[in-house]
Amino acid sequence: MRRLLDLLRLYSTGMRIGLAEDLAYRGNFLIRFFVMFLSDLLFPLVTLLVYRSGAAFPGWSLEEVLLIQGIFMMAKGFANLFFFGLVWNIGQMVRDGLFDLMLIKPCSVIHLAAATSFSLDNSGSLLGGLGIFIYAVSRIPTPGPWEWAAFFLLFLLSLSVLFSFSLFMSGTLFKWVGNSRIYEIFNTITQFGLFPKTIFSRAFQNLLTYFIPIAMLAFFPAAVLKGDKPEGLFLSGGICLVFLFAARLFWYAMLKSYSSAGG
Amino acid sequence: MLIEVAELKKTYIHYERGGSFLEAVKSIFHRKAIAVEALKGISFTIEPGELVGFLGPNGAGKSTTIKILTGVLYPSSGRVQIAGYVPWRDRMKYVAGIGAVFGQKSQLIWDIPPVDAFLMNKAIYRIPDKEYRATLDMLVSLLEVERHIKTPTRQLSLGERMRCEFIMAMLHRPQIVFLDEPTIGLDVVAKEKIRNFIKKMNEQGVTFILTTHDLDDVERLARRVILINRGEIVFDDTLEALRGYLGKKKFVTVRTAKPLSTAAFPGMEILNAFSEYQMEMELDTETVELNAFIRYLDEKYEIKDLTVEEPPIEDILKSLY
Amino acid sequence: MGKLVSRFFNGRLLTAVAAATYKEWAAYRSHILVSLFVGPVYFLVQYFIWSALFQNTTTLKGFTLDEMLVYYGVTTLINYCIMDFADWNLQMLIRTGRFVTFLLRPVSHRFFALSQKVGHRLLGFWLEFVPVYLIFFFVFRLPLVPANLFWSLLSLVLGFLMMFLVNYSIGITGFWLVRTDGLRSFFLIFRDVFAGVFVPLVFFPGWLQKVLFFLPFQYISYVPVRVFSGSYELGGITLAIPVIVAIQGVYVVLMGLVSEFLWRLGIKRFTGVGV
Repeated sequence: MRRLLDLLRLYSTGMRIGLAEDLAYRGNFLIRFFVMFLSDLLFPLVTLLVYRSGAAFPGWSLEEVLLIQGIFMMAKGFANLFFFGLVWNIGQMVRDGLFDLMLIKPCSVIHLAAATSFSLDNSGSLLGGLGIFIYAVSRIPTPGPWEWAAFFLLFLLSLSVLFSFSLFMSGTLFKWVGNSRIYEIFNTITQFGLFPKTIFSRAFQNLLTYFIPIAMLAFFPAAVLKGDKPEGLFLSGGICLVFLFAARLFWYAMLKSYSSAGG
Repeated sequence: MLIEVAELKKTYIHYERGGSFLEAVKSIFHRKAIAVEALKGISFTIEPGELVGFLGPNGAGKSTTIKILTGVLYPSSGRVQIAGYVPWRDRMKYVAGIGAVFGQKSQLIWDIPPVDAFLMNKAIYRIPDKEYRATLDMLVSLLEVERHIKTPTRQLSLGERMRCEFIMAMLHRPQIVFLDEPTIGLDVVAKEKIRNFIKKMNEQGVTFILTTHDLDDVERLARRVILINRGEIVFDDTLEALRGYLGKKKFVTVRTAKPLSTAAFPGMEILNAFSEYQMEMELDTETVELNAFIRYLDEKYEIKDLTVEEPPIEDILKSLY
Repeated sequence: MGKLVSRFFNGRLLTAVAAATYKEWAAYRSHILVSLFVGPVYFLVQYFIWSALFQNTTTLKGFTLDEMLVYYGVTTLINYCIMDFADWNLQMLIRTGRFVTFLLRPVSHRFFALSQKVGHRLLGFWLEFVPVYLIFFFVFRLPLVPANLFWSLLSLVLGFLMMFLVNYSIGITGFWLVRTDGLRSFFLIFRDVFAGVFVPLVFFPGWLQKVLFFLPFQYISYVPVRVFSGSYELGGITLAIPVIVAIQGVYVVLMGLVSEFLWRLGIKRFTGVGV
């Protein structure tokens, strides 16, 4: 309990400081906020244009696809706001030789890196996703309380997958120093999560469900919200936890290798 | 005994990297490993309240030692016990009681005032409000930065910033503090302020381990000096002993009104004759007293300009090796 | 005339700077090789998307499924030939004050930056374009043969210049703004959306297509891609390939003038403020 309180204090301090940093350059901050908001509308915009041209994913209405994309954006927005910055933070610190400063602090490096990376810019991303999500939910049959409950549970799993990704990425940056293209790899892999799983080939569907649980990012939460019972849901939920466990193992192994190689 | 280091060894493994595209592809599958011995088994102990200067040229193993002592790096073998902890094994518990200031690695946050950045450490080290207030007030008045801590860090001078770095590092009242080049790039006044602060904290019982290239830092602060070179400790004793070891050498560069004679002078050796009027010489102050020598030069040749320098740290090491 | 040319073009400088940049970036091979993963996987997603969208129809906005896949394949490949960081680089130089060193040299920084781009993209050609082309051609069986090699190459070169001029002009805003990363990413999103990187421009509403015809962005990527497949259409306007390439050329010159104008304003501001 005390540890949880300490952790909350760490994050709230990190947020206060992040906010103060944001406000140091107010103009730039507003633009970045707006850009995050806009760039999030990109994929929904393309989806909208394509559907307006008369095409459609078989079995998926425009609103249903937007629901997936809205959830995807919300999850990424939430992650960006609260923890995904740890990737950038650790990457920069390792590159500039400042990472040692994190190791001489008496707290978890992961939490410290996450807490000190807070920037309100990223709330633009969260808001954009939320807007699309609300629009899409209002256009599908109203979900009941059970659907909502299942959705929130799966949304947490979605965040856990993103957290796992942040560990895999920052762990990689211990070795692959200064490579910002890791974000491109991440965006490319997770792109599969922006669309209904059913459009992919069987092999890829299995890959996205049982190996790298990208289907959990948005597809599964969206499916339960619209009342479906998608196959593989429970097993995929378990896989998410395994994925998280593997990510932690990987991260600590990379940290240990950093600590014995001396950066 | 506060710090005990025994037979500490560290071997780095580097991988050879080819230049061409083909070699880069090859290196993914097979890499040639090269072992570099950074520490060859060093041992020393430090008592509470000491202020130890850690010296050595670049690549001597200085920073490897400090990294191991701060729990950042795993050694290859050997034993380290600090305040009852093994740094790399009990990292979280251990580092709660230490502090560190790195002259070239800022812990402050560029765009916001130091006083806000301090709050981060308050949260990290779980410092209670009352204790935090008291410590902050004490450090701020000792370092005379009442005004500066409220100014955005990017607007501070290097000296002001360094003083704030010290606050950042000592808010949690560490009993052991590691300093790495804490005065690098500072002007004389700023250096003096920092040194006075270190002295005062040391008098209050804080143990300092100081690595630096600046011999002045060591002379003003440390009573004990550990010299490290090529992964081995080559000297571990008081500063006075180091002086004795060295002989009392000074470098004198002089410019005169009348042409200088190149004739031999006991205890003096000409290193460089820039012209008849300007020369650099090495003086052994055990044979000839510095004051007397300068007086002699002035009377005979009329000094127009004169500098006296200590032998640089690299020379000391050379003479010890 | 010769003097005018030498102001804007210096062959020896070009080769020297390009070679140096090539070597400098060659050290980051492993970073560049990331494209070998990103490019094909991105394409794979497009493949699944459009295969699903074409299940109940044979053409969409004049594209067949195969043509659509070629569109995305060629867009990816062309990007390897023309992308650059001129905007980021110039703003970084201004912000850090290192830009001053260029004012002291008797070369135009714009030409210097263009030469850097040539070297950088030469490396990208070997490490990104060629391998990804081979993957597209042999693994995905994309029929990546230009309708007309001459016009395709010419349009590609013009796209290369257009991309540079647009990015460089964005970089010039650094003379006025301290922190520009926000504004820059804002421009970059617009640039890519309106260049047709995410979806062919014919999917946009008719009025927007007409507007886009007059903006510089389509000449970066959309035009070279359409010239590659041998048919051009935007906003209901269908043009013969030589005509659209000629218009592209005119736009490159116009954009050059715009960047020159911005440059002069910027320099005035830079030196006016004092270094």
